[in-house]
Amino acid sequence: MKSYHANEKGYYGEFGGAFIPEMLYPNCEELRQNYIRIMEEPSFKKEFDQLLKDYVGRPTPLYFAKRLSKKYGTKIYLKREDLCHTGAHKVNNTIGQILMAKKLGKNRIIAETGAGQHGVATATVCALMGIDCVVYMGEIDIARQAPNVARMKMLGAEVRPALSGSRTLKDATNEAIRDWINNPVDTHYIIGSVVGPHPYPDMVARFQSVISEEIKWQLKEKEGRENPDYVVACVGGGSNAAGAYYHYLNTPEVGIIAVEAAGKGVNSGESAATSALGKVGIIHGSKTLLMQTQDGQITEPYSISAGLDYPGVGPMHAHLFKSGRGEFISITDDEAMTAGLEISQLEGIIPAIETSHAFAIFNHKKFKEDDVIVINLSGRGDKDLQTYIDYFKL
Amino acid sequence: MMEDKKLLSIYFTAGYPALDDTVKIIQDLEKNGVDMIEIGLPFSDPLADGPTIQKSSTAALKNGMTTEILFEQLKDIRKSVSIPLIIMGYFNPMLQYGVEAFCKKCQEIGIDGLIIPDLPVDVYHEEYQAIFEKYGLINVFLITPRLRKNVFGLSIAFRTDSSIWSVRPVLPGLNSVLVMSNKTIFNALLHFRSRTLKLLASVSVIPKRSIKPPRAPKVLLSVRPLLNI
Ligand SMILES: Cc1ncc(COP(=O)(O)O)c(C=O)c1O
Repeated sequence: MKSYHANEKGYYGEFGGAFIPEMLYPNCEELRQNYIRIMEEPSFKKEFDQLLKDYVGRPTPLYFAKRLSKKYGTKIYLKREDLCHTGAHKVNNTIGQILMAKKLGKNRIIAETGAGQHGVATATVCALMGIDCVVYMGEIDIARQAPNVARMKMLGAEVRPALSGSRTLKDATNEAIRDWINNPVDTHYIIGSVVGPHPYPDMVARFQSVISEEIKWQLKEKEGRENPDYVVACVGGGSNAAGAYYHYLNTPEVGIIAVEAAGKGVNSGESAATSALGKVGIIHGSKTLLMQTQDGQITEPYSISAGLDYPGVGPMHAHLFKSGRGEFISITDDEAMTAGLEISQLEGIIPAIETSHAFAIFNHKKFKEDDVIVINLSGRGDKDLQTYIDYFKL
Repeated sequence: MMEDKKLLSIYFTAGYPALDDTVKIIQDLEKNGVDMIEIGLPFSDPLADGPTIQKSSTAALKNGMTTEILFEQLKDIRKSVSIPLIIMGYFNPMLQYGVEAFCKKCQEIGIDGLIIPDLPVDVYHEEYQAIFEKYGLINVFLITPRLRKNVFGLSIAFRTDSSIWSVRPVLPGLNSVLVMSNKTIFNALLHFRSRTLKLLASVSVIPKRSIKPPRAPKVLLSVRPLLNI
């Protein structure tokens, strides 16, 4: 059977691998040799599950969205990752990785963040474990995302501005990687999505796979079947999507829909729709689809949602796209904002703008009346209130 | 024959400070006694480099530097420069140019080798070594304080018939290593382990292919701001 999971070298089809400088090799190798073994240790599993339950608040509900379903004439369920502690799915991964770091004997954590969601989720677990935390964040994002910067500081993390390049997420990632090169022994780098060199994409996907694991039994309870007709998720780097698809990847009867940010329009020059605009290339140690100039320089993406504003996409998603296993839809800023307002007023849930993109697919794709669709509601909109306020002049 | 003379290798970013400075910088470096030059092909995200090279690269790209332009600038470089020239760059621009086309162009120009920090040894071995060899290019790997043991094992396995920098007395069979590092890593290397120390102390670089004896470096220690530690 065709597998859409990573092979032992970290490749999803032609994508993935570890294109890293020799200086990083020992770090990645240490992780690669240990991550699966550690994740399968009963003591690790027990602590991970316990924290997800008591601290994060899992399982998150699978909620039948009655009014939304009625409006679009199909059956829509929402997987409520927005109800996780810290407000998004990101914390599933940071809980897993902080436990991994402890098992590996690390006493310092670094992370990159764009909008600050992953930074907050990392600062949170570091506070929980009493471990030093440095979060790299582009200077421009620090100015744009002041509340999350304050949250990280309040949680005891040091926020270091990335001053190089375009001073956004990709530069914060470069800085975090440089830090790791310089502190290879005591430091663990908690990457925030299914990106980066092997084994990160696979490790992060496994930590996020709790999402589809829960969807399976929850849907069984509600619909009498484990498999929906479609799973829908927004894709920045692709971690919430990887988690929502994970247990369905090799089940062809479950349709996979990936929603990317088209920004001001796929062909506007201000977009983050990597599948439409990207070419095969190397970013942050991974061979994947990425937005770049003809000359191979990585370009700056644009999206109204900082969490989707990444010039690449995880190698799993590049493979889902290239192989045709996944259907990719790009949604503009305007469509996403409208959908965010709609879901707020239909279901009483204000989503993160990243997630709003996933809610905008109904004007692009028609579903059958008895289709069962699960949308991964990756995060709540609190962090985006100012953007909503400015956009709708609330 | 293997005299233990230390050689100086200098890195600079092509296209910086001004787009057309490349040739003049190379000529001036040679005139001033530099033994080898690393010509930096700028990349938007040079993650194995520190802030200095990030800055010069960003500026060079702003100045309009591209792979095509660099090759154009270097077209006649061998008419005036005879010391070894290495292009140092990241893998993505090379991939987009086409690895084979890139190597072919390097050979036409008279480039001796490449340093591509994010092209790992195993991938090189499996996918690209044959191309590099076809065009007589050496591929230079980085050695770090936390050197992985099997780099040498791997090296022995696949570099014996292809290489450039020879370290014969130290590790039989291994004949291609270039040590490059900044001062801190260099010092760490010295203290790292006796094997490495021995390696460094007796690095004798013997040219095999494109570098002709008159401009063959004997001992090569490339010092560049790899990282700001
Ligand atoms: C709520 C939410 N959804 C989605 C994303 C995008 O990340 P990923 O594609 O890794 O899920 C983010 C990133 O910050 C986020 O905060």
